[in-house]
Amino acid sequence: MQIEGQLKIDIHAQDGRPCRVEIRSSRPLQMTRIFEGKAPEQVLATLPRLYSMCGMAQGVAAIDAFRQVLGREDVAPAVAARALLVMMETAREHLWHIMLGWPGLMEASAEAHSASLVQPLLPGLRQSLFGDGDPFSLTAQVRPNISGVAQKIDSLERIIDEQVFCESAALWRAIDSYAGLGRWADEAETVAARLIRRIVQAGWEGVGASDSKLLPALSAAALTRCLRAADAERFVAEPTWQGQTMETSPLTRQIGQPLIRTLHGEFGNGLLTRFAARLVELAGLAEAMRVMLPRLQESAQTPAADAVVTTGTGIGVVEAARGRLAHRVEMAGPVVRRYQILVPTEWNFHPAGVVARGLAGLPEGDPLVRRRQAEMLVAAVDPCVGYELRVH
Amino acid sequence: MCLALPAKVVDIDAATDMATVALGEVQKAISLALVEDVQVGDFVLIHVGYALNKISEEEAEQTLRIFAEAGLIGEVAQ
Repeated sequence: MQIEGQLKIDIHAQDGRPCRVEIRSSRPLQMTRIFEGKAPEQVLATLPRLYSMCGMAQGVAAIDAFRQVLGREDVAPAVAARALLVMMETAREHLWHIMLGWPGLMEASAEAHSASLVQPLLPGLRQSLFGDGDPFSLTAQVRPNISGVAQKIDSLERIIDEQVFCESAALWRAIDSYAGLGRWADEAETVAARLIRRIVQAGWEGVGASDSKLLPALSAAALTRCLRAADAERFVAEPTWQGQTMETSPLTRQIGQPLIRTLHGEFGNGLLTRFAARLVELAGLAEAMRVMLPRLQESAQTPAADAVVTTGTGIGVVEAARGRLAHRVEMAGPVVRRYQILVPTEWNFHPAGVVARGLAGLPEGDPLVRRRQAEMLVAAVDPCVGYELRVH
Repeated sequence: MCLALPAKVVDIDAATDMATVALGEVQKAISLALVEDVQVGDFVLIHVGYALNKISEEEAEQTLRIFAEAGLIGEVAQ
């Protein structure tokens, strides 16, 4: 049952040292062809159904692309409401990743009960923002129940505090040094703390580091040029920017935070910096969501600042849990002529990208240790499809 | 791209909170840890070994039709 596609990752070694890494993807890139000939509302209704892991981010990218192509400006409350859905989805993905994925990196069982706690929050938030309406309809109306929204954010914060940090995430965010992170990891008894402790104790902080670059903020025009070029299909499958592979991930977003800047300076983009970047992002999400609340009550006539009107084609870009996601649409009259989706996994798991380079740079030695390190690096970057890792 | 597949629950092991789901003729073991109150005969969306949420039979059929349209599965399977 591999309809959703899979990554196959092979690490070849010679004389005990990794010498070559192969990453092959069977992700079904032809999926977007089903949107050709369909009306915008049909595409918008279909997308969140197909991509239910990142359905909110997919929905936002799609509706932004369609609003642009149709010349319809969005209003501030709707933009804020959808941004809140994406943030809650990002929090859920990070929590699931930590609770279900990180224990396996330490030969422990998934913490499924902790992971299940966050499950009701996204549907609940959607209900508090849009009632029974569809958030991704071109005629969507925000009907915010502010106390309901605030309650979902409070619940999220409580789960993050108790299950991840063993203290207030706001306090945890004050950690800005390697020593401070180590002290927390020694004292807290959560799966997140245990993994950080494990990496520090093994001396694997910089394992998997490479000189791979972080994807800069690309303008819509720059991205559009890549997606309308003659080799656009290849770009969607194996994207590069100015001839170089790039990374887009929580690390890309959190690189400016004090702790991550410090760790990056000391250990580059190795394991510790990556795992810490996800924690830093998670620690800030509830507060970032609260900042959006006043925008829900702005006048529905307030145009969103980022609304752009064009004709013929539209592009929507959103930061999804795993990195930057882009949708581009070309219309032919009332229906879609071409639909393209560029997902973060294709940047990060490019055959010559950040994961391939990090794996190729793993230290020489015991293949079993190398496998464990490779599993950690792949998990830290977090592909959106399953993968098979073979260490030769 | 994180596609989530609809599948029908054909067996549940309450002791391990695991289920066997079917998509067409293919069967697979998945965890039910993230969803509550799942019964044999229900449809769930699955992704990398977990049921993500319950969906109606109608929703499952609609999604499978889309996968079939995209050529990812041969026919609408249940």
